[in-house]
This record gives sequence, C-alpha cells and structure tokens, in this order.
Amino acid sequence: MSSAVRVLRTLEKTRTGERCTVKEWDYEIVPKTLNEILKKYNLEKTCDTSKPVNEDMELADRFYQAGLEAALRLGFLCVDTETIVKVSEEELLRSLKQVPSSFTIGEGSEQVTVKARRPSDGQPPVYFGPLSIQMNEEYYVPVAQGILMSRLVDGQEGPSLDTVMDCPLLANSPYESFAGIYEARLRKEAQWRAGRVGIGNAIVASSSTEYGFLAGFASYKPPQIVLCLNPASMKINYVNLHKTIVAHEYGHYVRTESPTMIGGYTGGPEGSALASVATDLLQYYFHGTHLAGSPTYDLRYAGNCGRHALWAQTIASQAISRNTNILMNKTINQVSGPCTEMFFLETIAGFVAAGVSGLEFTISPRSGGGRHKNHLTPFEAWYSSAVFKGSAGLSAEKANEIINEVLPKYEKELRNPPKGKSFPECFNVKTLEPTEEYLEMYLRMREYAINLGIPMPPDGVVS
Amino acid sequence: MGDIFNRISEAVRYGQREEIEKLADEVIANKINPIDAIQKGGVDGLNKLGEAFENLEAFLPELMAGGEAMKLLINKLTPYMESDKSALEGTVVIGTVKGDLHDIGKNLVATQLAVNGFNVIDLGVDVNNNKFVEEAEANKADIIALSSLLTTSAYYIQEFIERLEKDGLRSKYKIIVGGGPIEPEWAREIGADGYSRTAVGAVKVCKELMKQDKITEIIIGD
Ligand code: B12
Repeated sequence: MSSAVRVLRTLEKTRTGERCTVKEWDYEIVPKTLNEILKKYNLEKTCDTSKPVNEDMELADRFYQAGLEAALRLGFLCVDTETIVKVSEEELLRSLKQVPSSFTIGEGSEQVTVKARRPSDGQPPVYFGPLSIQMNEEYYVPVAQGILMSRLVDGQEGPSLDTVMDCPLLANSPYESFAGIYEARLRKEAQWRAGRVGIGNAIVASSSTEYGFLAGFASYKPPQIVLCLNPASMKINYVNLHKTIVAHEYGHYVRTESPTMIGGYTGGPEGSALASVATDLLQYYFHGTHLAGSPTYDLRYAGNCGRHALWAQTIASQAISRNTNILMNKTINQVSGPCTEMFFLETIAGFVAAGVSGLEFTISPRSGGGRHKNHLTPFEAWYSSAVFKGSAGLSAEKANEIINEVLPKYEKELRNPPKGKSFPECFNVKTLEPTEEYLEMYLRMREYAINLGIPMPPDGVVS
Repeated sequence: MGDIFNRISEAVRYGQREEIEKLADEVIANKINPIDAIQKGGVDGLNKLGEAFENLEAFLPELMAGGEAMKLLINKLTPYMESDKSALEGTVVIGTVKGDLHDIGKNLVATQLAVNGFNVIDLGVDVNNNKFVEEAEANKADIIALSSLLTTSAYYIQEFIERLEKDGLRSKYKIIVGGGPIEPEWAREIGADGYSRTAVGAVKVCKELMKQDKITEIIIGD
C-alpha cells in the first residue's frame, strides 16, 4: 500500500472515528484499559528494580502479546478531532509484516544503514546528535561542528535556535518559517567545517510546528528523517500528519513518536511499558513510519535514567525487537548537565540498557534534561554514542552488573540534578578546545566505562 | 469522631466522590466542625495520596480524582462554616502558552493545586495571551499560572506581563510561571510574582501569593 493511501485512510479515520475528549482518554480510557490488560496477562508488579534490564525474555514476550491487545483495543486519539482511530487485528498484523526493517541515510562516505536489531545484538546501533537543545545563534555552528567532528556521531538533529538573525523566534509564528530555512544554512556550514558534507539529518529542530519543516525542507536533499513528535500517551495530531504527508510525498523517512510517562496516564513502569509497546505497533499502520518512537520518562524527575524508567524502556524494547522488525528510536534522557560526573554515570546506565535491549537508533544527548540554554558540548554526544555502540553484544546480565555499579552513585540526585556548565564554560568556542577540567573528566570517565567492561570505540579526536 | 475523619481521608485518597457526598452529609448532620473534617480528614487523605504518588502507587489520574473529591468536600461544607469565606484557597487560571503542546508538567501543577484546595481553571495547551486575560477576567481569578517548556514559547510569557501592565490589569492578578527551561532569574527579570521548579513547590508559592496583597519581591519555590 502506498504511503499516500495509508495516510489518507488515517485522515478518514480521524473524521469518522468514535468521539472521545482528551480528558476522557487520558484520565479514564487509557488507564482503565491498560490496567485491565496488565491484569489479564499477569503483568502487574513485574518491575524488578534490582534488575533494571529485564532478563526474563518470556516476560518480554508477554508484554508483546499484551501490547498487541492494547494496540487493538485502544488505537490512538487524534487530539484535533477528538476522535479515536482504530485498526482491526487483521490489518494490524498485515501492516507489521510490511514494516521496513532497514533504511539508509546520508551520501557517499556518510551513508549509514539503520537495521533491525535483537537484544544483545552484536551489530552496533546508529547515533544522531544532538537533541534540540537551545543555543545562542553564535554558538550554533561551533557546537554542531564540534559534535560532528567525531565519527561516533552518524547524523545531525540539533541544536536549536531561539532567535533568527537576532530576532526572537516566537513559537507557532512566521518566525518559525525563517527558522526552518536559517537552520538549514547553519547546518550546512557546520557540516562542511566538520568535514561531514552529505551526512544525514533529522529535521527540523528549531520549530514547534510544521511551519519550520515546510519552510526548510526544500533545502535538504531527500531522504532525510522528518521529526513528527506526537503528544504523550497514545495520541496523534494534525501538525504531525501535515509533516508526515509532505515527508512521504517527497521521499523522506518518517520518524513518529508518542512518549509514555511513569506516574502519568499510563501509570507505573508496567503500564508505561505496555503503552509503549502498543504505540510502537501502531505507528507504521497510521503514519507509514520508518522509525517508531515511544520513549518512557519518569514524571517525578522528567528523565529516564532511574531504575523504573530503565526497566520500562528496556522491556518495551525487548518486546518489540524480539517479535517484530520495527525500527525503534528511544531517547535516553539524562538530567544532569555538561561537565558533571553524574552526566557520565547516567549515560552509562541509560545507554548500556538501551544498547543491549535491541534499540536500533537514538538521538542524543539530553544534557541537563535539555532545559538549560547553551548547556551542550561535544563530549556528551561522543560519550553517549561510545557507550551505546560499545554495549552492542553485551548480555542483559552483564548490563545489569554495570548498571548496578553506577546507579547507586547518582540515583538520589535525580530530583535535584547538577546543571553543569555551558558550552563557553567548557570549550573555547573559537578553537573548539576543551578546558583542562572537562578533558580530564571526559577521558577519566571513558577509562571508567572501559574498566566496567564496555569496549568504548574511540572518538577519533581526543581518544 | 476519629472514625469519620479516617473515612473522609480514605475517600479522598481513593477519589470516591459518592462516598464524600455521604460523609459530608454525615458531618453536617452530626454538627462536626467542617474545618476539622477538611483538615483532619481531607488533607490527611491528600497527604497519603501524595506519598502514594511518590512511591508509584498512585498516578496522575488518581491525583486528579483525589483533587476532585477534595473540591467536592470543600464545596459541600463551605456553607456550614462560621466565616462565610470559602474554604477554597483561591482561583487559578492555568495554561501552557502559545506554540507549546507540552501538557504533562502543567497538568501536574493544576492537579496539585486542585488537590490542595484551589479552584483551578485549566485552559489547556497552546493558549494565546488574549485567552488568558479573557478567562482570568471571566473567572475572577486571583492567580494566573503560565507554563512553558519551550524557550521559543516563553517569549509569550514576557509579552503577557508587559501587556497586563499596558492594559492597567497587572495589579489585579498574581502571576506565577514555570516549566523546564524557565529559570528563576528570568522569572524575576520579566516581573513575575512567583516561580517554582516543581508542582509541590508551586502550591506553596500560590498559597504565599494569596496571603500577600502586593508582591514586592518574587516568591521562588522549589
Ligand atoms: C515529553 C516531551 C515532549 C512530548 C510532549 C508530550 C506532552 N503531551 O506533553 C513531545 C514528544 C510531543 C514533545 C515535542 C517537542 N518537544 Co519536548 N520534551 C518532552 C520532555 C522529554 C519531557 C517534558 C515533560 O513532560 N516532563 C515531565 C513534567 C512533569 O516536567 P515539566 O514539564 O518540566 O514540569 C514540571 C516543572 O517544570 C514544573 N512546571 C511545569 N509547568 C509549570 C507551570 C507553573 C506555573 C509552575 C509554577 C511550575 C511548572 O512543575 C512540573 C512538575 O514538577 C522534555 C525534556 C525533559 N526531560 O524535560 C522535552 C523538551 C521540553 N522538548 C523540547 C522540544 C525542543 C520539543 C519540540 C520542539 C521538538 C521538535 N523539534 O519537534 C517539540 C515541540 C512540540 C510543541 N509544539 O510543543 C525541548 C525544549 C528545549 C527548549 N529549551 O525550548 C526539551 C527540553 C527537550 C530537549 N531539549 O531535548 N516533547
């Protein structure tokens, strides 16, 4: 089925589906349905926080079966029409057979292929960097150039801007159209300076609506990855259907997402894992998705490197990767900032857990939770990628050994994480040389990871 | 008497509205001090609910149900209080500002405020500045709470405060701001009355804002 037919069918369903308000969906239908299914499949209280990476593959498969039922019973809520879009079992199973199990992005020596992985797969996953973290305009090119200088980074998404030629970039305004075009120019400059012409992109970072993408996309040669980030807890919206249509019609790849939140509508770690599996199963059917996303965050600290979130995210990844060829993207959300030891410890736990659980792709880092302007430097990206790729082939048991070593060192700080230092405090923004302090910390924490048993690939710049 | 307070506490903890209806009638019939019923019963239930939330035994939907049960209790008992002032803490109009669809943090703040006795009017996400003013006026709000998770949406918060100044409405409302990228120093710079990093902190700040007639120095919560 062509992607146009697929998305037209989704649009039709948003017009004709059963009516349901967002409030009913979030507060009643989703929690009630998930709870019923958790009970039915005996999944309640299965989260074992002493093993942040689930080791019981039969349990992962049960989450898969339960996730299928949740996908069929719930579907997605379209927030613009307040209607539920559903799929029949036959249609869903057929669509899962058609899911693309690999795609290639980038040109020439910058080509990378994202391929389906299984838990403890020896094939390393793909890493794009950084996330959409806000930078001053004058730092955009140097920080992006710095990040791309290492071949550990396979493609670019962020950072993002909050001004355009020094004018305020107001969300959901025509400034976003400028931002889409301007960001494309700055990326080209950074990629050229880093010697990475032809590298793949995830677009567009600096726009909260479809405007930035629609304005900027003509500046990119397809195929690139188009970001279509839907509201949390099994919802979709028209903003992202706009993007999806344009992306498909012009030959780009579609990356959709709808996160789940521990403590939120999807309940605890079990409910959130279940909803994440269901979300990943539904995205190809409705959006023709190439890269499906349903990361899980813990609402208590807006990150996911604590025990419950690690467990939920890994069991959901295992469930999908053992039973389908869906290519997944999940975010590993650090909360501590650049130039703090905690950042490296969170990264070890988060990326080892993800790397051994079948995850194919991620975009990172989220230094300081991505909240603090200019708090992003090349080291966080290189380190995250090295752990992610280095963990390929490790067993779940080895992963738990590593994670249980690092977690107790920071888990108490998750609610009050150190903000760390900004780019100009960590690097000379002209020469891109790190401060002695940060270089020493980075190299020491690389050694630390290697001693824990993670074969960290070198960054090719300082290691 | 302890028994009825326990029952109220339970009913609030588990968001049982029908049970609260009955218990409120019982309080009235037995001439139990309504303030005691709220404090020793309702507030106790809310504290238990808060603990359960921290321990992943209750989630946002349960918090919301508890908040609604508490609001019902307060509304039913208010006419029987000595002073005719409502036991509700005050009215808050809350929303996520224009361009921003992040609603979870805002919902958590709204729920915590409701749970703690505020009358909360939630305008949802992507709310433009005109709407905030209209709804604050229509609902006779005491506090306007603006959430932004995007730096590019946070500009609208600044514009909002400037606009209230211009329209001569600034002194009518207390303004509290928050959300991931909002820093307390920035909140101070743009002239907000309150800021908090967390939802629990937001409740404390709002209670403090209600106590003061004029805010001369921004109140920063955790
Ligand atoms: C979940 C999420 C999403 C979801 C939102 C789902 C939903 N329904 O809400 C989706 C996937 C849709 C999304 C989309 C985008 N997101 Co987003 N998202 C997040 C994420 C991971 C978590 C936010 C969250 O829900 N936290 C949990 C709650 C409980 O925490 P909280 O919101 O901070 O709220 C707490 C406090 O801040 C406070 N608080 C909140 N509001 C208020 C209000 C008042 C008055 C007070 C006193 C306190 C207060 O109390 C809360 C409880 O303690 C953050 C990163 C992070 N870890 O924070 C990025 C983040 C906020 N997103 C970001 C970005 C850039 C985007 C996009 C623009 C990405 C893109 N390029 O398309 C889009 C924008 C879409 C839009 N128009 O809004 C950036 C923002 C950067 C910045 N400085 O502007 C962040 C920081 C991530 C990053 N840098 O990598 N996102």
